[in-house]
Amino acid sequence: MTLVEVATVIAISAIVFTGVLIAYTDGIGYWQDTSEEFALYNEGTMALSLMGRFIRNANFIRIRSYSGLPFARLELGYPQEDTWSAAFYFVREDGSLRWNDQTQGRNKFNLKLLPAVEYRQDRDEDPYLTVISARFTPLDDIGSQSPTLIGYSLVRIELILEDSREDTLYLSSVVSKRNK
Amino acid sequence: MMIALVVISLSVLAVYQMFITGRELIIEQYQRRYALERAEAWMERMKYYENELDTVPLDFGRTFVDTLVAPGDEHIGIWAECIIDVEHSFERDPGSGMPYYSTVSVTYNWEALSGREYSIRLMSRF
Repeated sequence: MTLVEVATVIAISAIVFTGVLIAYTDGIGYWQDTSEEFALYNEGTMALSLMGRFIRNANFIRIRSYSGLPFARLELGYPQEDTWSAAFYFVREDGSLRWNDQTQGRNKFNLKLLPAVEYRQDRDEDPYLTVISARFTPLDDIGSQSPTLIGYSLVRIELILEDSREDTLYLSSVVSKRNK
Repeated sequence: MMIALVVISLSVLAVYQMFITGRELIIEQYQRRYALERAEAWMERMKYYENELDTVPLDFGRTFVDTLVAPGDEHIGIWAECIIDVEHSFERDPGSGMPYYSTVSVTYNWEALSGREYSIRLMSRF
Protein backbone atom coordinates (compact mmCIF):
# COMPACT_ATOMS: atom_id res chain seq x y z
CA MET A 1 0.00 0.00 0.00
CA THR A 2 1.50 3.32 -1.05
CA LEU A 3 1.53 6.53 0.96
CA VAL A 4 -1.10 8.03 -1.38
CA GLU A 5 -3.45 5.09 -0.73
CA VAL A 6 -3.01 5.42 3.05
CA ALA A 7 -3.70 9.15 2.89
CA THR A 8 -6.81 8.57 0.78
CA VAL A 9 -8.17 5.94 3.19
CA ILE A 10 -7.56 8.24 6.18
CA ALA A 11 -9.28 11.17 4.40
CA ILE A 12 -12.34 9.12 3.46
CA SER A 13 -12.49 7.60 6.94
CA ALA A 14 -12.39 11.09 8.45
CA ILE A 15 -15.29 12.21 6.23
CA VAL A 16 -17.31 9.10 7.12
CA PHE A 17 -16.59 9.53 10.84
CA THR A 18 -17.60 13.21 10.69
CA GLY A 19 -20.87 12.25 8.97
CA VAL A 20 -21.67 9.67 11.64
CA LEU A 21 -20.85 12.15 14.41
CA ILE A 22 -23.06 14.90 12.92
CA ALA A 23 -25.98 12.51 12.33
CA TYR A 24 -25.63 11.22 15.91
CA THR A 25 -25.43 14.59 17.69
CA ASP A 26 -28.08 16.27 15.51
CA GLY A 27 -30.34 13.25 15.86
CA ILE A 28 -30.09 13.09 19.65
CA GLY A 29 -30.60 16.86 19.96
CA TYR A 30 -33.61 16.82 17.68
CA TRP A 31 -35.29 13.95 19.53
CA GLN A 32 -34.70 15.74 22.84
CA ASP A 33 -36.28 18.94 21.45
CA THR A 34 -39.21 17.00 20.09
CA SER A 35 -39.84 15.01 23.28
CA GLU A 36 -39.84 18.21 25.35
CA GLU A 37 -42.26 19.84 22.89
CA PHE A 38 -44.53 16.81 23.22
CA ALA A 39 -44.64 17.44 26.98
CA LEU A 40 -45.68 21.05 26.29
CA TYR A 41 -48.23 19.87 23.74
CA ASN A 42 -49.77 17.28 26.07
CA GLU A 43 -50.13 19.63 29.02
CA GLY A 44 -51.22 22.57 26.82
CA THR A 45 -54.01 20.59 25.14
CA MET A 46 -55.11 19.25 28.53
CA ALA A 47 -55.48 22.86 29.76
CA LEU A 48 -57.28 23.92 26.55
CA SER A 49 -59.65 20.98 26.88
CA LEU A 50 -60.51 21.86 30.50
CA MET A 51 -61.06 25.55 29.71
CA GLY A 52 -63.13 24.61 26.64
CA ARG A 53 -65.42 22.44 28.76
CA PHE A 54 -66.04 25.30 31.20
CA ILE A 55 -66.65 27.82 28.38
CA ARG A 56 -69.15 25.56 26.58
CA ASN A 57 -71.24 25.21 29.74
CA ALA A 58 -71.10 28.89 30.72
CA ASN A 59 -73.95 31.34 30.44
CA PHE A 60 -71.91 34.49 30.81
CA ILE A 61 -68.37 35.18 29.65
CA ARG A 62 -66.24 38.23 30.26
CA ILE A 63 -62.58 39.00 29.65
CA ARG A 64 -60.46 41.30 31.79
CA SER A 65 -56.90 42.47 32.35
CA TYR A 66 -54.64 40.69 34.83
CA SER A 67 -51.03 41.13 35.92
CA GLY A 68 -51.05 44.39 33.94
CA LEU A 69 -51.84 42.51 30.72
CA PRO A 70 -55.01 42.97 28.67
CA PHE A 71 -57.07 39.85 27.80
CA ALA A 72 -55.27 37.81 30.48
CA ARG A 73 -58.25 36.80 32.64
CA LEU A 74 -61.35 34.90 31.57
CA GLU A 75 -64.38 34.88 33.89
CA LEU A 76 -67.33 32.54 33.50
CA GLY A 77 -70.79 32.56 35.03
CA TYR A 78 -73.21 29.64 35.19
CA PRO A 79 -76.96 29.28 35.54
CA GLN A 80 -78.29 29.04 39.10
CA GLU A 81 -75.09 30.52 40.47
CA ASP A 82 -75.09 34.14 41.51
CA THR A 83 -71.43 34.92 40.97
CA TRP A 84 -68.67 34.60 38.40
CA SER A 85 -68.06 30.99 39.25
CA ALA A 86 -64.88 30.16 37.38
CA ALA A 87 -61.91 32.24 36.30
CA PHE A 88 -58.76 31.39 34.36
CA TYR A 89 -55.87 33.83 34.51
CA PHE A 90 -52.24 34.20 33.46
CA VAL A 91 -49.78 35.08 36.22
CA ARG A 92 -46.85 36.72 34.46
CA GLU A 93 -44.68 36.87 37.59
CA ASP A 94 -44.17 33.09 37.84
CA GLY A 95 -45.12 32.07 34.28
CA SER A 96 -48.18 30.05 35.26
CA LEU A 97 -51.81 29.70 34.24
CA ARG A 98 -54.12 29.49 37.26
CA TRP A 99 -57.82 29.18 37.91
CA ASN A 100 -60.54 29.60 40.53
CA ASP A 101 -63.36 27.06 40.74
CA GLN A 102 -66.51 28.06 42.63
CA THR A 103 -68.89 25.92 40.62
CA GLN A 104 -71.25 23.52 42.41
CA GLY A 105 -70.31 24.76 45.85
CA ARG A 106 -66.60 24.27 45.41
CA ASN A 107 -64.49 27.10 46.77
CA LYS A 108 -61.07 26.51 45.30
CA PHE A 109 -58.81 29.41 44.44
CA ASN A 110 -55.47 29.94 42.78
CA LEU A 111 -55.23 26.38 41.44
CA LYS A 112 -52.30 25.89 39.12
CA LEU A 113 -53.36 24.62 35.69
CA LEU A 114 -50.02 25.06 33.92
CA PRO A 115 -47.46 23.82 34.64
CA ALA A 116 -49.45 20.93 36.04
CA VAL A 117 -46.67 19.62 38.27
CA GLU A 118 -43.41 20.86 39.76
CA TYR A 119 -40.67 18.89 38.09
CA ARG A 120 -36.99 19.57 37.48
CA GLN A 121 -34.27 17.10 36.66
CA ASP A 122 -31.83 19.00 38.83
CA ARG A 123 -31.88 22.08 41.02
CA ASP A 124 -30.30 24.43 38.47
CA GLU A 125 -32.44 23.37 35.56
CA ASP A 126 -35.15 25.68 34.25
CA PRO A 127 -38.76 24.51 34.75
CA TYR A 128 -39.88 21.97 32.17
CA LEU A 129 -42.80 24.26 31.25
CA THR A 130 -43.23 28.01 31.57
CA VAL A 131 -46.27 29.92 30.33
CA ILE A 132 -44.89 32.83 28.29
CA SER A 133 -48.31 34.17 27.35
CA ALA A 134 -51.98 33.29 27.77
CA ARG A 135 -54.53 35.43 26.00
CA PHE A 136 -58.32 35.25 25.75
CA THR A 137 -59.70 37.14 22.75
CA PRO A 138 -63.43 37.64 22.08
CA LEU A 139 -64.34 36.82 18.48
CA ASP A 140 -68.04 37.68 18.48
CA ASP A 141 -68.81 39.29 15.14
CA ILE A 142 -72.58 39.39 15.14
CA GLY A 143 -74.72 41.57 17.37
CA SER A 144 -76.32 40.19 20.47
CA GLN A 145 -79.59 38.49 19.66
CA SER A 146 -80.92 38.87 23.16
CA PRO A 147 -80.97 42.00 25.35
CA THR A 148 -80.30 39.80 28.38
CA LEU A 149 -77.12 38.34 26.94
CA ILE A 150 -74.10 39.41 28.95
CA GLY A 151 -70.57 39.33 27.67
CA TYR A 152 -69.15 37.23 24.89
CA SER A 153 -70.07 33.98 23.18
CA LEU A 154 -66.99 33.05 21.14
CA VAL A 155 -63.48 33.09 22.60
CA ARG A 156 -60.04 32.29 21.21
CA ILE A 157 -57.58 30.95 23.77
CA GLU A 158 -53.91 31.34 22.83
CA LEU A 159 -51.07 29.83 24.82
CA ILE A 160 -47.34 30.25 24.25
CA LEU A 161 -45.38 27.70 26.28
CA GLU A 162 -41.62 27.40 26.74
CA ASP A 163 -39.62 24.33 27.73
CA SER A 164 -36.35 24.13 29.69
CA ARG A 165 -34.36 24.41 26.42
CA GLU A 166 -36.17 27.70 25.68
CA ASP A 167 -38.04 26.27 22.69
CA THR A 168 -41.56 27.63 22.44
CA LEU A 169 -44.83 26.08 21.36
CA TYR A 170 -47.93 28.01 20.28
CA LEU A 171 -51.35 26.46 20.90
CA SER A 172 -54.74 27.95 20.21
CA SER A 173 -58.36 26.93 20.49
CA VAL A 174 -61.61 28.68 19.57
CA VAL A 175 -64.58 27.80 21.77
CA SER A 176 -68.18 29.00 21.79
CA LYS A 177 -70.59 28.72 24.66
CA ARG A 178 -73.60 26.56 24.02
CA ASN A 179 -76.08 28.42 26.23
CA LYS A 180 -77.98 31.51 25.15
CA MET B 1 -10.42 -1.58 1.94
CA MET B 2 -11.97 0.72 -0.68
CA ILE B 3 -15.02 -1.52 -0.96
CA ALA B 4 -15.43 -1.44 2.82
CA LEU B 5 -15.26 2.34 2.80
CA VAL B 6 -17.87 2.58 0.05
CA VAL B 7 -20.21 0.29 2.00
CA ILE B 8 -19.69 2.28 5.23
CA SER B 9 -20.23 5.57 3.37
CA LEU B 10 -23.50 4.31 1.91
CA SER B 11 -24.59 3.20 5.39
CA VAL B 12 -23.84 6.66 6.79
CA LEU B 13 -25.80 8.27 3.94
CA ALA B 14 -28.73 5.94 4.67
CA VAL B 15 -28.69 6.84 8.39
CA TYR B 16 -28.49 10.53 7.52
CA GLN B 17 -31.38 10.17 5.06
CA MET B 18 -33.40 8.40 7.77
CA PHE B 19 -32.76 11.30 10.14
CA ILE B 20 -33.76 13.91 7.51
CA THR B 21 -36.95 12.00 6.60
CA GLY B 22 -37.90 11.61 10.29
CA ARG B 23 -37.37 15.34 10.84
CA GLU B 24 -39.55 16.16 7.79
CA LEU B 25 -42.32 13.90 9.03
CA ILE B 26 -42.31 15.49 12.49
CA ILE B 27 -42.45 19.01 11.00
CA GLU B 28 -45.31 17.87 8.76
CA GLN B 29 -47.15 16.61 11.85
CA TYR B 30 -46.77 20.08 13.39
CA GLN B 31 -48.31 21.54 10.22
CA ARG B 32 -51.09 18.95 10.33
CA ARG B 33 -51.78 19.80 13.99
CA TYR B 34 -52.01 23.47 13.08
CA ALA B 35 -54.36 22.72 10.16
CA LEU B 36 -56.55 20.72 12.53
CA GLU B 37 -56.55 23.62 15.01
CA ARG B 38 -57.63 26.00 12.23
CA ALA B 39 -60.34 23.64 10.97
CA GLU B 40 -61.70 23.18 14.51
CA ALA B 41 -61.79 26.97 14.91
CA TRP B 42 -63.92 27.32 11.75
CA MET B 43 -66.26 24.56 12.97
CA GLU B 44 -66.60 26.26 16.35
CA ARG B 45 -67.35 29.59 14.65
CA MET B 46 -70.15 27.90 12.68
CA LYS B 47 -71.46 26.41 15.92
CA TYR B 48 -71.47 29.94 17.35
CA TYR B 49 -73.58 31.17 14.39
CA GLU B 50 -75.96 28.25 14.82
CA ASN B 51 -76.27 29.02 18.52
CA GLU B 52 -76.88 32.74 18.02
CA LEU B 53 -78.93 32.74 14.79
CA ASP B 54 -80.42 29.22 14.95
CA THR B 55 -78.78 28.47 11.60
CA VAL B 56 -75.44 28.73 9.81
CA PRO B 57 -75.74 31.33 7.01
CA LEU B 58 -75.15 29.86 3.54
CA ASP B 59 -72.73 32.68 2.69
CA PHE B 60 -70.39 31.36 5.39
CA GLY B 61 -69.33 28.76 2.82
CA ARG B 62 -66.16 29.81 1.02
CA THR B 63 -62.89 28.63 -0.51
CA PHE B 64 -59.65 30.44 0.23
CA VAL B 65 -55.93 29.99 0.78
CA ASP B 66 -54.71 29.79 4.39
CA THR B 67 -51.17 29.70 5.79
CA LEU B 68 -50.21 26.84 8.07
CA VAL B 69 -47.74 28.48 10.39
CA ALA B 70 -48.17 29.44 14.02
CA PRO B 71 -47.02 32.86 15.26
CA GLY B 72 -43.43 32.63 16.41
CA ASP B 73 -43.12 29.15 14.96
CA GLU B 74 -39.80 28.27 13.38
CA HIS B 75 -41.40 25.90 10.91
CA ILE B 76 -41.78 27.20 7.38
CA GLY B 77 -45.27 28.34 6.40
CA ILE B 78 -47.22 26.17 3.99
CA TRP B 79 -50.06 27.34 1.78
CA ALA B 80 -53.23 25.30 2.21
CA GLU B 81 -56.53 25.38 0.38
CA CYS B 82 -59.43 25.72 2.81
CA ILE B 83 -62.95 24.81 1.71
CA ILE B 84 -65.89 25.61 4.01
CA ASP B 85 -69.17 24.11 2.90
CA VAL B 86 -72.63 24.83 4.32
CA GLU B 87 -75.84 23.14 3.18
CA HIS B 88 -79.27 23.61 4.69
CA SER B 89 -81.80 20.83 5.07
CA PHE B 90 -84.60 20.83 2.50
CA GLU B 91 -87.22 20.53 5.22
CA ARG B 92 -87.96 23.74 7.10
CA ASP B 93 -89.67 24.58 10.35
CA PRO B 94 -93.16 25.72 9.29
CA GLY B 95 -93.28 28.23 12.15
CA SER B 96 -89.99 30.06 11.72
CA GLY B 97 -89.20 29.10 8.14
CA MET B 98 -85.68 28.13 9.27
CA PRO B 99 -84.05 24.92 8.05
CA TYR B 100 -84.17 22.07 10.56
CA TYR B 101 -80.44 21.54 10.36
CA SER B 102 -77.28 22.59 8.51
CA THR B 103 -74.67 20.16 7.21
CA VAL B 104 -71.27 21.82 7.54
CA SER B 105 -67.76 20.76 6.66
CA VAL B 106 -64.25 22.23 6.68
CA THR B 107 -61.57 20.75 4.43
CA TYR B 108 -57.86 21.62 4.39
CA ASN B 109 -55.70 20.38 1.51
CA TRP B 110 -51.99 21.08 1.28
CA GLU B 111 -48.73 19.80 -0.10
CA ALA B 112 -45.74 19.71 2.24
CA LEU B 113 -42.27 20.79 1.10
CA SER B 114 -41.35 17.12 0.74
CA GLY B 115 -44.10 16.73 -1.87
CA ARG B 116 -46.34 14.64 0.40
CA GLU B 117 -49.99 15.60 0.09
CA TYR B 118 -52.21 15.99 3.13
CA SER B 119 -55.93 16.49 3.58
CA ILE B 120 -58.16 16.75 6.64
CA ARG B 121 -61.92 17.11 6.69
CA LEU B 122 -64.20 17.83 9.64
CA MET B 123 -67.91 17.41 9.11
CA SER B 124 -70.96 17.81 11.33
CA ARG B 125 -74.66 18.50 11.33
CA PHE B 126 -75.88 21.44 13.44
